[in-house]
Formats: sequence, C-alpha cells, structure tokens
Amino acid sequence: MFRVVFLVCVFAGIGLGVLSCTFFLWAWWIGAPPSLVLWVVILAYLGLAVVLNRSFKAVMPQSNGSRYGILFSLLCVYVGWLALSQYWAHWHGDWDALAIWNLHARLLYRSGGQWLQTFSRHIYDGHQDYPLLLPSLVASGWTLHGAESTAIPGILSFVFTFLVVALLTSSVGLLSGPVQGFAAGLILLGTPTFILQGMNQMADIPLGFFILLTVVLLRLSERSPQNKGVLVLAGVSAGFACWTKNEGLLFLVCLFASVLCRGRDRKQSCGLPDARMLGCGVLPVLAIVLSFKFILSPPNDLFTGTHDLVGRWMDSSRYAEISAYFYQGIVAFGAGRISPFIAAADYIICFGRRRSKSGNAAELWMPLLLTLMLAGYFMIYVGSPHDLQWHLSTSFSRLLLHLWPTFLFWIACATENNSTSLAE
Amino acid sequence: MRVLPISSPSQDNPLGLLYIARCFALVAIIAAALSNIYELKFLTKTVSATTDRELDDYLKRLDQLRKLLPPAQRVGYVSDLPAAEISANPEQFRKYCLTQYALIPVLVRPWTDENLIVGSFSGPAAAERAMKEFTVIRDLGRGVLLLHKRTE
Repeated sequence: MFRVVFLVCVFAGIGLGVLSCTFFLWAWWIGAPPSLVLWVVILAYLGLAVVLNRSFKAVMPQSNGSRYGILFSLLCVYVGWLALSQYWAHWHGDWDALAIWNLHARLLYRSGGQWLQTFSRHIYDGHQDYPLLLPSLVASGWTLHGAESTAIPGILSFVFTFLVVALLTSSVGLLSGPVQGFAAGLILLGTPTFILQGMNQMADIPLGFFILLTVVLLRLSERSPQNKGVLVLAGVSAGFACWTKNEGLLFLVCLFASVLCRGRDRKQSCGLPDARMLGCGVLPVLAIVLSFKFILSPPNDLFTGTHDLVGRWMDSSRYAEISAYFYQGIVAFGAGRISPFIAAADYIICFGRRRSKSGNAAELWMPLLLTLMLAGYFMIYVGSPHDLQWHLSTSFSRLLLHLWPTFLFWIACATENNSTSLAE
Repeated sequence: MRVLPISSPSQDNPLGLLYIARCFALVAIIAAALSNIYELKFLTKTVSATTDRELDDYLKRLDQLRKLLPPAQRVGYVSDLPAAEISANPEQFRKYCLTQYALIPVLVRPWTDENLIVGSFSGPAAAERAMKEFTVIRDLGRGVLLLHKRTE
C-alpha cells in the first residue's frame, strides 16, 4: 500500500509541475492554451508515468501491511473534513492568495494571449516576480473546467496539503517501517498551522511538498546508486520548488551545497556525480524560471534597495531581533496545545537513534540542508528593506512550514531501526 | 506482522525501562497529535464566513463594472483617502487590492490621472466630495462608482 501511495504522490507532484510549465510556456509563446492541449498533456504524462514507474521498482523497498493503516486513513478523512470546513468558511483564501496568487491566475486566464502586455506593465504592488507554478495551475484548472471558480484553488490547496501528508507517511513507511511512517504522518496531521495554511490557497505548502519530494528522492537514490533516474527526478522536483516560490531558489543553492558535501560511501569523497545528475533534472525547469525572472518579471522587492543592504547587514540589533523572533516563532509553532516539536522529540525517544556503521558526511546532508535554509531565511530577514517586525510576523510561520515536513522526514531517517535500515 | 517497531524488553533492556519509556513516547505522540487535531476543530470554527460573503458582494459589484470596461485598459482609482495615503492604511489598501483582483486584466492604478476612474467609497459623504471632481458614469451601489474626470 505504501508503494502505491508513494508513487501516486511522486507522479501527481511532478505531473502538476509539468502541467503548470506547459500552460505557462504555451501562454507565453503561443497564447491562451485550449483545454484540448492540456488534456493531451495530461494523457501523455500519464503514459510516461507508467513507463517511469518501472524504473522505480528497482529502488523501492518492499512495504509491509499494517493494521494501523485503516485508523490512520480514518484520521486523515476527519482532518480532511476539517480542512474542507476551513475552505467553506473562507473560500477566497488568505490575503496573499487574493492579492498575489489568484490575482496572477486571473491575469493568465482572463487575458488569453494578451497577458504579457498587462504583466509587463506595472500592477501596483502585484509581486509580478513571484514564480507562476500555482497561478498557472489554477489557470489550467479553470481552462479545463471551462470557467473561473473559487473551487479550483481550493481543490489544489487540498490536494497539495494531503499530498505532503501522504508523501511523508508513505516514504517513511517504506524506508523505516509502517509504524514510523504513521507516527510521522500523525505529527504532521497534528500541526494545526500546516492544515490551516494548507487551505489558505498560498504557495507555501506546495513549496514544502517539492522540498520534501526532492529530499525523499535523494534519500531513495542512496538505495540504488546505479539508478540515475531517481536523481534526475529529484532535480526536476527541485526545479519545481524554484517555479513555486522565490524561496525555492535558495533551496536549490542549499541543496547543491548539501549534495556536494554528501559522500555516498567511502569510495566517493564528494557528491559531484550526484550533483551532476541532479543538475540534469533541474536544468529544464530552471531555464523556465530564469527566463521568467530575466525576461518577464520586475526585480524582487527585497532586493530593490541594495545600496542600503550592507548597512542592514552590519546592524547588529537586527540580528538580535530576528534571533529572538526565530526563538519565539519556533516555540509557538503549530498553533496547537502541544508543540509539534515535543511530538518530534517523543518520536526520537520512541524509535531510538539509528545505529549507523558509516558515521560519515553522508549522514549529515539533510540537517545541513535544513540548517542552510534556516540560515538563508535569517539573512534574508537581516537584509529586508521592510519593517522587520511586520516582515517577520507576516511570514516566519509560513517559512517554517516549508521545512517542517522535511524536518520530520530527517528525524524519521535518523531513527530508522536496524531491521529496515537503508544503510544495512 | 510486526506490531511495534520498538524492541522487546528482553532484547533491549533487561529491566524493560527503555521499552516502557518508548511505549510512553509513542502514547505521547498519539496524544499530542489527537489533542492538536481537536484544537484544529475549534480553529477552523473561528473562521467566519461573513468576511468572505462581504467580499463576494463587493467582488460581484466590481464584476459588473469589469463587463463595462474593455480589457487591457488602465483605470484610475479614488477612495476615501488621498492616493498617497492608501498604501499606509491597511483597510483602504485591502480594498484597492480587491478592486485590482476583481478587475484584472484591467489595470487599476491608485491615482486619478486616467480617463476612467473607479471610485470605492465607504460612505456617502466621501462619495459626494468626489462628485465635485468627477462625473458619475455608473453607480453600482454601496459606494462603488465608475467615474470620469470632469474637465473645466
């Protein structure tokens, strides 16, 4: 069962990215894509997924059935119901969804082939530099549906939120064991902010999904070093992270730094061959992102006042203020009665630390990646031209959500028990 | 079938203390998650649909306005506050962004130097003040107006 769920998550995630890129490129080069074109792309992708599925079989571990699966599925249905009730009460999504993501989707859908003329002109405070994975997907949904509807961004939010839960549960279930998988999924389901933000129709949870997918595929590639296809697919997923939000570009830099530090075993002192394969996957999507950035979009608002940037970076009070906020934000993270970090600590106690024979740099790439990402976010705040308290209070909890599923995956990998450990 | 991935007392710890600690930790994970999911039930209830209904009402009126305007055009915007103060006032800025959201691909610029201007007023007093400067082309109700700059 874990294998099926895992494959559905991988191919659904990559498929959504492919659909978004197709819509964008068609709209850019030709004009408004007709629904027939999108259906052809979807069918062609489904055919490709069947072929790619075969190459996955070699690297995927066998999964055991578990009696807890039904209980976990029932809990997912209940949380899904709560998520839908959030949508029914708040169908336009959060403020950024209206002012940025769905605004761009409406522009793509309503303008037809003329969207570039409007896009390149100044939409006042419209954040046109934000990548278009989510707006293109929403516009694709409207094209396929034949009309604008608030249901499409709602459905996409729901799909991405529960894809993250399913991907985390199934990947940990496959790599570490079913109980570990359900426990990791349970911690994620028990993070109220994750579900609430997931239904807010913004791009943070989709970004979290692509970050997790990349890391899971990289971890899976360790099982079968000769199978390079998984690494390429991880690269494609990292590319889609860049196409989802600007933070995806930071993720890409941190990912390559982490992969270069990763030696798969003692024979491979650095991860250059892996980085090369990863690059092959990233390149096509990155080309789209960079074309969008350099040809179509205005510069990012965070980097417009670069002359003051050095001054802000030299201001020690900003470091203290941000550190204090990071601490408070991490303590208050989750919006529940019990911090999900406590549940994560329980997870380590429950399943024990993995007894690794290698103990080399290969074990450290995931925490290195997460640390680099947090450090990157920290430095972006230091250089931010906006009011610091406003910037922190409106974004920090969402930034944590980008990394939270991957953090749980790392915890699960660090606590693999010996019987199912990948290393052995 | 393996019930728990944690080792049995005899394998891991002869006293079984580690085993008990691990069992407690598993119970703690389940309790924390269920407690937070219970909390989520109340957090979703606190979201009021009233705001979105008001939003829908405002967007519907602007949708009527959109049908009057040719696409890929620019229009101005006037509200209770002068243009320079709109972005500093969260409520007014929100209304401006909603107007842009509703009218896109028509570009709404927060100034009054365009031929056609969208007026969005919260009360009749502010609307009447604006009438001195602009001619009303269409009144869509509840303070939403399509205006034309009056020439001297």
